[in-house]
Amino acid sequence: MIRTVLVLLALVLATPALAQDKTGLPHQYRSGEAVTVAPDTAYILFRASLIYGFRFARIEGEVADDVDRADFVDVAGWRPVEKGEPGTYLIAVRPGTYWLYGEKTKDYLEGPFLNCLCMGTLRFEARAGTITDLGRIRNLARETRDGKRPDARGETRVLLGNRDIRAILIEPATGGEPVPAMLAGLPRVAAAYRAAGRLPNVDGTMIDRVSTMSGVIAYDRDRIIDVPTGRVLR
Amino acid sequence: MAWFDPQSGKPRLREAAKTIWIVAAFLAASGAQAQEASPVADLPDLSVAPSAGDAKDFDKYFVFHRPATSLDTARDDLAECGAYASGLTLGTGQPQLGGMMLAGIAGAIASGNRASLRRVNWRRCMFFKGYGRYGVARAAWQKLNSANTVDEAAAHAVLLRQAAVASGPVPAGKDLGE
Repeated sequence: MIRTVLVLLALVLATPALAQDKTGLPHQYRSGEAVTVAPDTAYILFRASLIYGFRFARIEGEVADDVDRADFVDVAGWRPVEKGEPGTYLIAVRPGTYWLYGEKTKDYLEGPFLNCLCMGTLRFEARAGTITDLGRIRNLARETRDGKRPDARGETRVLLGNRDIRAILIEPATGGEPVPAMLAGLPRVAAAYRAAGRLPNVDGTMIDRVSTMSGVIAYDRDRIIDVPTGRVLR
Repeated sequence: MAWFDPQSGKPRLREAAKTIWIVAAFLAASGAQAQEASPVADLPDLSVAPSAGDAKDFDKYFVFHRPATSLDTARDDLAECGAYASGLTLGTGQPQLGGMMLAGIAGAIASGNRASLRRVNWRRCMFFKGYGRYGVARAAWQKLNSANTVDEAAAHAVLLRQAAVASGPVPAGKDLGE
């Protein structure tokens, strides 16, 4: 019981509030909050279930070594703009290039609070004046209980020992996904994903890499391949 | 100590032999010291499969190996993955006030998990790099990692020993994977 209380307290209290700049960004929208698209602000939309939170990092260029905590955008998993299966999340951010940094985990008391996509991830442009739709962020580890059952789509996956399909799998938006009524009519574009290189393990937590994405990111051992160009990213 | 008699000019065989013996002993001792200092000397014998009883601890006691890998490459890979496995924290790393309190509680509860997390990162990184993981007996693991201390030179010596195994003969047993 005490353990459960501690876990709940940890999730509520220890979830870092978004470190906002003078313009109030980033800002995670709450359910029922009115949304207007400002011409100088970018918006990130994604769907997810079974996540405790997610972190993005604003990084320009191809090297992430100097990423600063001020560049992080942490999204609380328990606060979707619309609940559902999956839930929908919306965050207003500074325009720029964002890397998927990693997922917050449930294991606050038992282990790391983040699963850093340190050894291979994806990035996308979040342009001003529009909502960038990331599609769906899936947590296959939780869907399958670490491979003990089929995932949400009924597929049986073995994650441990799988170099291509890892816990975090991104299903990119196709443009036809439904959005909450509050977002209907607002400008929205599907994220154009690109492969991204290594991230520093800023918080010293668990490391992993994002699952491969057809036509975007592949791996050759630990080398990250930018599929369209064939380049190896560091 | 002269090897020749200054008056007769004849060699002093006993003195010469004594000197040669001292030099030989010195060289032998030096050689022994050099051998002791060599980090890749006296590695555990991993050609014999560990016992079935050892298998329950294979998540803790293991070595890495990849065919056709040089010692230098293995050393660099181990160092890189070792960096992911060091300096680990529990919690957000930058908790708020409530988080700081809870981080302390969490730290007390979960401090033992840091070693487990270290192994996860270590294994995962080396797995991505294509290394196999082979379970070893605890005694063999301890022998391989015996100098694993905070001393930088000793830690480097352990790294070289691990690299020698990773780039050497394939250990007995099966590849346990990630």
